[in-house]
Amino acid sequence: MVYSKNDWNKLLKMVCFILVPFWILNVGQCLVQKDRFDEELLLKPLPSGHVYAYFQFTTVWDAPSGPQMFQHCHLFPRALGEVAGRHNVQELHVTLTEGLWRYEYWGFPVSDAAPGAELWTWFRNDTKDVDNIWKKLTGALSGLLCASLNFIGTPNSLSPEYSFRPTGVVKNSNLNSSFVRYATLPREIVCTENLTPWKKLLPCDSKKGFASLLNAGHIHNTNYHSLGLHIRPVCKDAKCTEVSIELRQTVSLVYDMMILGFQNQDWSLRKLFGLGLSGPCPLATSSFIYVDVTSNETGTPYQLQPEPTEVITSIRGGYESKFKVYNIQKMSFTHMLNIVATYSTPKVYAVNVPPVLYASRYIVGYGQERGGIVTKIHNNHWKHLDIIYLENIPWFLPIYLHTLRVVAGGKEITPILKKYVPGKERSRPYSLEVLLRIPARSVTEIYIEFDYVFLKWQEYPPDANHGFYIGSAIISAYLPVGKNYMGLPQAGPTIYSSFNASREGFLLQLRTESLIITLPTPDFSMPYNVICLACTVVALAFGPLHNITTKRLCMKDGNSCNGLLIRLKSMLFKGRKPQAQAH
Amino acid sequence: MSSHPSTTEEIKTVGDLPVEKIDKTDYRIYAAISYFVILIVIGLPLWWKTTEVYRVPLPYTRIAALNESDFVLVTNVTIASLDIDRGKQLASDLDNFFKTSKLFKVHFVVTQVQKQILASAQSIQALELSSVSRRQAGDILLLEVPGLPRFTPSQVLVGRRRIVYFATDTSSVKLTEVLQQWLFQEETLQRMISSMVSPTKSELDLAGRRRMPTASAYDVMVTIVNPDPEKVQLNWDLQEAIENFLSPFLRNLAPLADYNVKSQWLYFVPLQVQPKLVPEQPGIRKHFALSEELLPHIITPLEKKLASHVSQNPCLNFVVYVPPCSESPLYIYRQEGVILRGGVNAFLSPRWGGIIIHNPPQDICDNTTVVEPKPVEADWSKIMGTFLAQLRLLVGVPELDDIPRVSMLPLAASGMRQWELDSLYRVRIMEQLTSAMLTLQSLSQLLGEISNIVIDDEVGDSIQEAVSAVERGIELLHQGNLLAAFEASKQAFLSAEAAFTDPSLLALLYFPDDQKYAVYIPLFLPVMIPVLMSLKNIYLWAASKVRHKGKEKVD
Repeated sequence: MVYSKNDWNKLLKMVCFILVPFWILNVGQCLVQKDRFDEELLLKPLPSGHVYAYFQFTTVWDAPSGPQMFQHCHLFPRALGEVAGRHNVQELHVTLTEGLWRYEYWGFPVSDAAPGAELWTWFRNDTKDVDNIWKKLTGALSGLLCASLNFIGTPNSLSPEYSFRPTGVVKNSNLNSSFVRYATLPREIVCTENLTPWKKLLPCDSKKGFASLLNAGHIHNTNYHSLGLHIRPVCKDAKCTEVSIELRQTVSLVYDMMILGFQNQDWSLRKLFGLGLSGPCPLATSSFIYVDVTSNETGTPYQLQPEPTEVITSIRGGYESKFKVYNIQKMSFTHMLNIVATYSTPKVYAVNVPPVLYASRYIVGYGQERGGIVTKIHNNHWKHLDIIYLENIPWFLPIYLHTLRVVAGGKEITPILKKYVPGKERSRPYSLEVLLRIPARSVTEIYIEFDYVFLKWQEYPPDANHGFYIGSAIISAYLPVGKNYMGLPQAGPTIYSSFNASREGFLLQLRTESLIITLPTPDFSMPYNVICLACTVVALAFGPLHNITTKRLCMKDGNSCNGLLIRLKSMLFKGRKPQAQAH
Repeated sequence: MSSHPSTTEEIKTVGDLPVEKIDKTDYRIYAAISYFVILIVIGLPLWWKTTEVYRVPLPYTRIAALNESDFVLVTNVTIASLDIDRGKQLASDLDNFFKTSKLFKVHFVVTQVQKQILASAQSIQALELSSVSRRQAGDILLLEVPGLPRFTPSQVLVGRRRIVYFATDTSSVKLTEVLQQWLFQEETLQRMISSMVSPTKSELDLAGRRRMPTASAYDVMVTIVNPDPEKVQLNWDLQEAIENFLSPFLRNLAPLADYNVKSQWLYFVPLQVQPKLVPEQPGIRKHFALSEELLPHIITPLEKKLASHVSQNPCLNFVVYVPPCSESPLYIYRQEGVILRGGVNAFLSPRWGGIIIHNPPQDICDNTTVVEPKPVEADWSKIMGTFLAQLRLLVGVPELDDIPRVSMLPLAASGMRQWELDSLYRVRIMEQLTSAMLTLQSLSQLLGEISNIVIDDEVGDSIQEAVSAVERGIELLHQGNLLAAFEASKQAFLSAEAAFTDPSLLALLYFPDDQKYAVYIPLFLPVMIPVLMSLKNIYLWAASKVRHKGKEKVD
């Protein structure tokens, strides 16, 4: 089969899309405020025995276009709107993640995130001096979210050509990747101080609605938690003549019920979040809780209490899943709502069936001179898959393109396309994008070598011996089957819109592990030691040199040398007259 | 070396060795001298020069001289009277009064007006619109209107433009009072300057404390707080109300500063204080009381959601708080048992903004057929009217004290009188010039005290610019050109602030001296001691040479 570039464009540039009408009529919405807010929670027991909870808060706003765009906000958070408006942002995606999503055991999440902080932004086409405005944007976001995003600048940002296309609408399909910036901070620790400002951006804050379930104590004891903030322009109506702004705030949590100390697999809202739900956010147009009960048919079944308001069967990409739906707005709240899942029999762990595509990554080599990165990509599909592999290597690890080897099943395969931007010391990271066709049912190894370099002594972070992080690689693929796939369709902002949303293919982005590497670390007191030592040597050398050239050793009885010792002697024995001096 | 035959002979008698010895002593001394020259004469200045903190030469004398230059506001006042002699008499009287003024230098010009012009005017409004009313910014026309009692009971009437109408029988004392207290507001200006120059000794007056500090741009943020959207529903078009009420006023102020208007809605932000329930009494309905001393506690929880992460401008906050029916009507109490005057349920926080409590109408609250959330309509003219009044105070238009038998024309839709704008210009000019001058002086003082501060070319340029802008501003004030003086003062203020707050000043500030010495001493101490000690030998050698020569001459 011959690869054609048009094919790829079709696959990858899903730019303008068909907008499905919103699935709920805006009955209660007033005319003056042109925005709506939806809150959703998806609960899914994973085959590995973990429980996946995914919160999504979506604000869609028909913002007036123009310079005053974010001046007058209603449900849309003003603080964030100001940041986006001032920095000419077209699309903004921030995720703050602790832990690693284990694709092999957990399947695919609704929204992917790299460990640590990840930020990618499309700036508007008319933006001048993108690098400068990017720096300012990261500074403002860092203040907004209390994260160290201000450490993102040109030296650690990429402009990937293929991996990050706009997810929302664009005015013309001529995309210029000089307006996109992508950066990660793999070392970032995510904690309460990020959650609190994130919650403040919600219209109901954490006072009402699903956000009241997000209590720091029950979030930070999870195996994986990820906060997300996604702004993109979407079509206002089916004709797509006007644009609305969509803000999606997400929280992904994975609980391990066994280590939380409940002795059994049963879970409930109260067990997961510490308290029940007191009601919907009154500002929300819709409030839904979905519980994925697909595994009831294949795995250990569980019962739900109370009964759901609705059961939805979704067929997507050839795979059927079942959801029990709780419409929170239609439920009466006399006391806190607690959805309880009870397993009638103890959970039996079946053999893990990994998803269609997953990857792992590690470092090879020994010593502190040369090393290599190996990424293994597993394709479990019966057909070959086309993927884009994006490698994001910091400037202090120079990689060598000629050492790039892609091996699948012992056979070397040639990439369809390679896009390599060599890094520059202290100003640009190494960026490598490889378009590959990986064979069916295979494990593909991507191998590349790098060097270890010395940094300037001020460039080492505090605790330099901890090591240096290398951000995740990103694997983008267009999956032909919907197995394990939970992502949202491009047109729909809500989880609901992903039900029965069968498409030609499903865009998937995987993040691999981030790596840690030990660079040769100097002794940091060395500069001062060197100065002191060098100075002492110079002083030691100078003293005798000076003495030899300016003084002379002479006989004791000589009168020309009236040394200190003699003078001392003469002072001590004052009574005695100095000997007659021969002249 | 010693060429004198007799000396050589003398030494030669001792033996061969001494000749050599003398020569070698000289060489050693030359070596010591060359060490001294290389290390002390060349090395030390070189080291000094290369490790010197970079500083552009600055106009220190001009900065110091700014203190001596006096800020004088030259103002032209035209007295137009029917009788030229009476006009001249008034002018000389007024001139006498204003001679003592420190800030103002008033030039009085007397003209005669045709009686027909005045007689043809049907009302004061007609006069306001006529051609006589056009004046340059800062100038004032005192116009005698013989039939003033026809229009107003007052003796003196201050117009919306730059005209003061006075009746024929008005005394010069009264006119002085009007000029001093209302139009020039000299005392406010003086207090402002003295509080800036010596902040520990004098305090601002009330108007000065309310006025926002000077800046090139301000943010105006209107926030609507609905603490319980389940009970109260507000379908308000805030954006349109802002466009209708606030924008025309702010457009007037555009020459003074930029104003960016923003708005937001906040939900579930409760009052952090518990209002006191006042039960139903004869004549008084049940209501809730919020005493005045609790008001600062309301602002604190709001502050969390008012900050901007992008804008660096000072922000004027205006908050509408709509209490739910269960907590309304809510009234602010000035003190025990006294509801805030004027029935306006609002308060002003100086240099911060204002808060208005908008109670839902009682009939909607009492009507049980209206289901919750109860729709509440906005009384925009009341809300925005209050905000405009507060905005005037925050911007710097003071509330003027009453003068008996003197009144002014009511405000037009634009919300500002021209002479108010002029006095605002004067306040800002004085504030900006004084601030720039003080900033420059403290910068030059700091530079004298802390030797580690770097002044690069850019900062040097903005200091130069600030100094010349202050000088230009003072010069333009002497010429009576208010608008140009304002531009100069703004430039001076911004350049001085930019220079003072430039981060490059601090580049080396935290490089402590002890670290420098820790690095230098291991090298310098062992090297310098022998070199300095050898100075003595050089001196002795030179002295012996001189003595030798003297001897030679004697010989």
